[in-house]
Amino acid sequence: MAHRGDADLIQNERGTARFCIENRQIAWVLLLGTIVGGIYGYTRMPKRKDPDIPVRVASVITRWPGGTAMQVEQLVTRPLEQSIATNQYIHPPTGGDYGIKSLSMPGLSIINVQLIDTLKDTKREFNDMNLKLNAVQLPQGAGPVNFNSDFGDTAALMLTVASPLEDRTAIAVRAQGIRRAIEKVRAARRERAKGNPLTIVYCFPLSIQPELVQRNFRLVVQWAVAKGYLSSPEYLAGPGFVGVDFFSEQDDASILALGRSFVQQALHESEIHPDAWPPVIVHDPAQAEDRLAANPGSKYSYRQLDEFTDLLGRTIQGANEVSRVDRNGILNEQVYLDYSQERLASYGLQLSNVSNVLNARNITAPGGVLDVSNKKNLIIDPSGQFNNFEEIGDVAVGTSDFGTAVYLRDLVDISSGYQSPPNYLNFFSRWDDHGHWLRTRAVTLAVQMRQGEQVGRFSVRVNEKIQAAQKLLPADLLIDRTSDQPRQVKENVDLFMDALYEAIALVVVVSLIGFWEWRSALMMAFSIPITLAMTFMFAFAVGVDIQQVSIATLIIALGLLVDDPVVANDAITRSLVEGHPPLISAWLGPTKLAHAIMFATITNIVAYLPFLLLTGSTGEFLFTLPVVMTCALVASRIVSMTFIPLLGYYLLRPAKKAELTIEERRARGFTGHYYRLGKTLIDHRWKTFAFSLLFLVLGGFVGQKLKSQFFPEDVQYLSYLDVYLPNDAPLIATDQAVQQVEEVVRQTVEKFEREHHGKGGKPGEILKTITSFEGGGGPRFWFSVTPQLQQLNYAQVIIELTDKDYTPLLVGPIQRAITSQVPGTRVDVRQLQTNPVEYPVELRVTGLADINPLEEEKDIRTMRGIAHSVKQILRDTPYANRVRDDWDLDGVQVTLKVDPDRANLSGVTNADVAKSATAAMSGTQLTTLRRGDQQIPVVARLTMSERGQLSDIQNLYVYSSQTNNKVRLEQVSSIENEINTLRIRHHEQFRTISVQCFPATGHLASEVYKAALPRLNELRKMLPPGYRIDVSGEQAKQEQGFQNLVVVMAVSVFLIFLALVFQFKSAVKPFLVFAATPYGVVGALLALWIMDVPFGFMAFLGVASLVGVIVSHVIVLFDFIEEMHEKGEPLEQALLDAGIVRLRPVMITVGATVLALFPLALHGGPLWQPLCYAQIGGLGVATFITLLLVSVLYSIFVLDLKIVKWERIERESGKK
Amino acid sequence: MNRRRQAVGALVILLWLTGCGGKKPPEKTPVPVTVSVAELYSGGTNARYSASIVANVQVSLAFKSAGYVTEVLQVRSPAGGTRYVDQGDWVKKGTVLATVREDDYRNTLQQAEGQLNQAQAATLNAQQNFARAQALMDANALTQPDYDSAKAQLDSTSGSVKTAEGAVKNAKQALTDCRLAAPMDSWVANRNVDVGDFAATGTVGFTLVDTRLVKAVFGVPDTLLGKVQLGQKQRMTTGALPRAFEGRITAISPAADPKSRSFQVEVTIPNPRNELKSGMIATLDLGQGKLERAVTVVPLSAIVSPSNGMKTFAVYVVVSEAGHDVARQRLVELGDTYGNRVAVTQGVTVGERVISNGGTYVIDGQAVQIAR
Repeated sequence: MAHRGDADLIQNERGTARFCIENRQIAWVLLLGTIVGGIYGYTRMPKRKDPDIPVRVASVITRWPGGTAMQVEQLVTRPLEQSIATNQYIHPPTGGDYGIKSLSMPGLSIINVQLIDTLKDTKREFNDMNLKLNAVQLPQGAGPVNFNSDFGDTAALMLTVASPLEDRTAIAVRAQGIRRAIEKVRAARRERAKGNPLTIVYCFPLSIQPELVQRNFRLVVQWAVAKGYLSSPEYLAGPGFVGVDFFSEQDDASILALGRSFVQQALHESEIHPDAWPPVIVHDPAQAEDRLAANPGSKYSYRQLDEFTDLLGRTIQGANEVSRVDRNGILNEQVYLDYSQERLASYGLQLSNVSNVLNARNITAPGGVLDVSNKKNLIIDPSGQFNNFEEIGDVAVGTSDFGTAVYLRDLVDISSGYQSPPNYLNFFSRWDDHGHWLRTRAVTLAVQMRQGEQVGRFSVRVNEKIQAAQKLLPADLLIDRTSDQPRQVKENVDLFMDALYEAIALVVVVSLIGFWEWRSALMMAFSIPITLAMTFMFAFAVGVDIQQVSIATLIIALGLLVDDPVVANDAITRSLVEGHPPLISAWLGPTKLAHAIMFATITNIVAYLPFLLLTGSTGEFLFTLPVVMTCALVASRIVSMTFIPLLGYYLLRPAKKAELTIEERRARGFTGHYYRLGKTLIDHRWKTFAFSLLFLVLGGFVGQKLKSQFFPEDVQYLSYLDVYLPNDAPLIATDQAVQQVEEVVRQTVEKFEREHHGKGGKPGEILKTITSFEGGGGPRFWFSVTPQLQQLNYAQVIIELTDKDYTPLLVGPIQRAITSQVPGTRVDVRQLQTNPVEYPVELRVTGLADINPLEEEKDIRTMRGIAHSVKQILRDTPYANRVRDDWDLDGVQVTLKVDPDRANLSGVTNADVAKSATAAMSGTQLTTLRRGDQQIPVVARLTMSERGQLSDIQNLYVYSSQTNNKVRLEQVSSIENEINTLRIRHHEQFRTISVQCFPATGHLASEVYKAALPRLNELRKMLPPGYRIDVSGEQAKQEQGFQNLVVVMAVSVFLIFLALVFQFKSAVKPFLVFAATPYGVVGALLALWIMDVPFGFMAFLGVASLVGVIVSHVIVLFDFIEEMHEKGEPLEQALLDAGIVRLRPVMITVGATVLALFPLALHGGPLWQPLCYAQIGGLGVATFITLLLVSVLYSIFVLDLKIVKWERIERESGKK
Repeated sequence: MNRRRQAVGALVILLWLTGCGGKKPPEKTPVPVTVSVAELYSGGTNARYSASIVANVQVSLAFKSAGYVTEVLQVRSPAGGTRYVDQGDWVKKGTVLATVREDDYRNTLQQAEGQLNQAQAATLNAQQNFARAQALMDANALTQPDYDSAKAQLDSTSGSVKTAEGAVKNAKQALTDCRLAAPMDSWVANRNVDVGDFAATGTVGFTLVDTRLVKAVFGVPDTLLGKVQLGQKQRMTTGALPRAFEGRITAISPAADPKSRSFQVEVTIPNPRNELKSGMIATLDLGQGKLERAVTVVPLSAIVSPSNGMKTFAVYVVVSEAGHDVARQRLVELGDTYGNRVAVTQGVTVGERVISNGGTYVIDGQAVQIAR
């Protein structure tokens, strides 16, 4: 490459730099335009915390009440899966990801389908899928197919609305009534010798008739009397309470515990009215108020919460920025008719009669219109709709023999309650004003933001709406932002912007120190904001949003951005020194280097651009990195060729002190040391080379020692717990487990608080709130947290801390505490993830051999056997914790075997048995009570005491549908225990058991996998044909991700090579350029090892992007070597002189880059640390290598290997 | 140069050392579980039945003498004054509850008496005739046929007297029957007549019940017939009354009801305070007697399927091994269900601690910690 003479350039050059200098007014306007454009772009760019990764997942939920898991799998899940699979945009099955997966449970089929990452318009495909699904023929009773394509939408805001506890006034009013009742009962007592009586009081909403509660209450008391726990009970009752006054020798706590144990055994605890208060024991009637106040119920009922949140939701929906508001945790109201078989039978009635009578009355039917003397239309309304549940009781269902009406209320107990047992509940726990930890019912609103809106504005508008609604809602209603994306976005953007500002400041400081001259430093201080402004302008134009990746990219790019201005600045100064007037030197310097800058820019762009080839969510996550990088580099190149000369013209002046000659610099100061060291190294070049190889080996060794972790967890205020109970657990058991779990969480955090803050820690210093969703997951509050769909044995507990830095510290202790204290549950404490890997270690056992549908049992047993062996292998490794599989154990189920012969002889059929059993155990809906906009089902169910226990089933009467017969269930059936598979999972349409585990604290998934691999391979060899064990989890993602990155790196290296070949017009020299890169990589690995950071995707990314930076440095160095070469210097001198000239700019650039990365490393959290450390280490090492080792290698190439010919070039230039 | 090499060498050694002395694998923590003790159970099954209460004696008091009801027993009304006797009133034996118009019957009686008088007069006449004929006959002054005729007339007339006497008696009875009297001390369960009603013969005027003893009637299937024996004591409760009652089984039907295939069983219960009313529904638990052989029971929640996927039942038992609590899997066979507990016929012995909560998440030989 030839360098043109200055005179030639002054004569003929017509570049942008010269244009800018010569048309300064145009340039100023353009500069102003750039700044305004940059600010506009920055403010208008959508802001997020993380890059927007669309979750292209839909869920398909189909119910089939009564179907076993196996039936659901075969008859519902399979045909649906096949229908879905016909879509051509299904995500291809990979180790770490899925296309179609399903879960078949008794009565329920759940399918998740994921579309390929490249698809932009998912709605169309989902619609198509939905249409096809609706055409699938399902067995009778199954369906409808519930297709949810919004499953992937992440709620921008999660508002939890919780009820406070009952206030003191209301408690005092209740307590007064209770006190009077107790006093009355005690005054009437005759036996006074027995000691002091005590009273248990049980409070419930005023809307419930005390008589209804009393019946079950009496059962408990009778049982306690029979057992001898208490004596001479006297009942009392009043509005909203029942109670019993008695004598007992037990203490209060054990009385309550006994009562609770009886309720658990004989009654359905889950059906106790949720608005009821916990029972309290009163010794002295005067204490009643205090006792109640110590343990009050919630102030607002579920019905009120429903009404409040409905209003709130609709108000928020009114904001333009809000696309959808979903409510979670609503408990639907129901009216219950509790009947007793005997009572009903004694009136000669069946449920079906009652149903007919109710439905004949409760109608909304037109009665016609009457025209009154041609003037007025009178509407005749024959409807007899029920207006409230009491009216239902007033319906006459028949007449007695004496002609008196028999009212429904005489036959059944009518109460207004909630869906029972509930199948989804939401609780909210927080500190109250007095420092007590409170857990109350809640309803959570998931607020979604409309696409393309500004999250900051969204937050403001939602707040306005909440405030508007709050005026109408009770003032003490709690509304808490349990997940707050606007806040996260703001904090994160602020954090990264701070890191950016710090980085800019550091760069200016570095350049000030480096140039040791305020003018140059001022140039840098101006050029960076201008470059950034232009970058924002470009980025806005290509539709990039502001989030952690794009801002971090700017920080990473800062070093590169600085490079061009530094070089240009240096060139202008040198031109000035050479004696050109400012008007000339301002453009001459940069123009002379234009070629080198151009190639350095191209090299960097091609180094980063291949990252666009990354696939999957990782690719989407990092999509903005190459884009912003390219924007920044292009901007930097443009700025250095336009505005830098402009600014340079005004700012830069030739140094007053004459610059040192090259000879002086060789001898003196820092450059002198450099020159002497370089000379020694070139003299002992083979030894040096051998030594450097040793360094490479060391690097390889360190690389081996590094732990690997694909993607680190994100550090957030929120972390969450997955709580699983055995497959057959009811919601009440889940609730109890969750309460225990919450308690352990609180204790653990408090312990942590004491250890870190001493005794004086105020409550709420670390733990802020706990939000629990029982019976299924909450809304998707984080893009990577896939909510679990309706499962009674599952709960999600979201923990919010006041300081997010505590989250990673607390996750381990909480997990350990729960694992060792809460029995019968499987709890996984999870941090939020940037790149979701559900289970770090996951091995999939897939059965592809289910040819014969009649041998399903055998297939499942074989798979379970294999999964058992895999689990054993994992358990035997020292690092694996919480090994499990995702089918869980088979459940022991009680089945009612109907003897068809006996049934037939007794005049009933299996259908009659089924009908009677469901009506009695789960209830049957008779009619609907319409109130306001609500349709409340009226459900008849057997009274609690007649179905409390398993053995009560046998005591049911079965009514024949044909004849008037009734027979006891026991007569026609027997109870048997059976083992049933309760959970069948499919992966890509085949049965798959995933064996999962977590690495022990302080260890990584890769260690577990490494330890288990030999035995796994042995097991694989022994598998029967058709069965497979696949590696999934982090390992698969990592392999896939790294493979992906290797491809990217290869493409990137090749493109750089190509650029170099073009630049040097030589195929050999580029290798010399590349020779520095391995040292940089080793430096990166060393830095990672020293900082004890695992090697993961981001570290790999850092290493990969190092190549470009190192190469671009070497290119500029080579440019100088060539220049020296042209000047006719001998090899050794040329090499070292080039180094001397480049020393300052390289030091400034590297110093700027490295220092600019420190704020990111400090604030960016575990995600950016590996990348920063890799780059810091890599650049640090590579700088020395560039400046020292490149000359050594160059001399080896020229002097010993004679691949690069020095003399010939000299001769050529001599000719010139 | 030499020094530098030394430094690097030292660094390498340091690296190697730190690499080898890596963290030790963590101890595996015991799994928390809750246990319950396997115990003997001999209580037997509880089969709940509903029985309807019927009175021991129930009388439908019907009118024999037809006619218009003229009078119904007046009793003191709780509201003050008097009122006609009605349901729920206690009546003593012999109390006249209602009267039909007696005049008709009195007339009939008079008629009958008149006829009796006629017949007696005719008989007198016939006797005199016969005495005359006897005398003539003795004097051979009468032909045999005339004598026979006089005799026949006498026989005939004395027969008419008897008939007439019977008719008088009937008429008297009918007159008495106009007054409907309580046949026993009892409760009036129902009154069907009012003054002015026409009561035909057979019209049920009152229903009287005697509930000093009541019967509870229920049907049991053949499978449970063995559990009921005559004379067996039986407790029962009603939805209406807080206390329990006790009685004895007094009758077992020998044949099943062809429709429902159940056998009717009667329990007789003393009801001195008249708390149990006819038509009430009682609930009774049958078979509270002891099981023939006590069984070992564990909570239903302790039963799990074994971890290897086999189709059998298992429980985890906590045993102490070397001072530590360890879970051991036992394959078990299950028997009947009692309440929420299930009998284990094999695999667990009484007194052993079985894991009732957490069994799904332990494996054989795992260390466990008993929570709470």
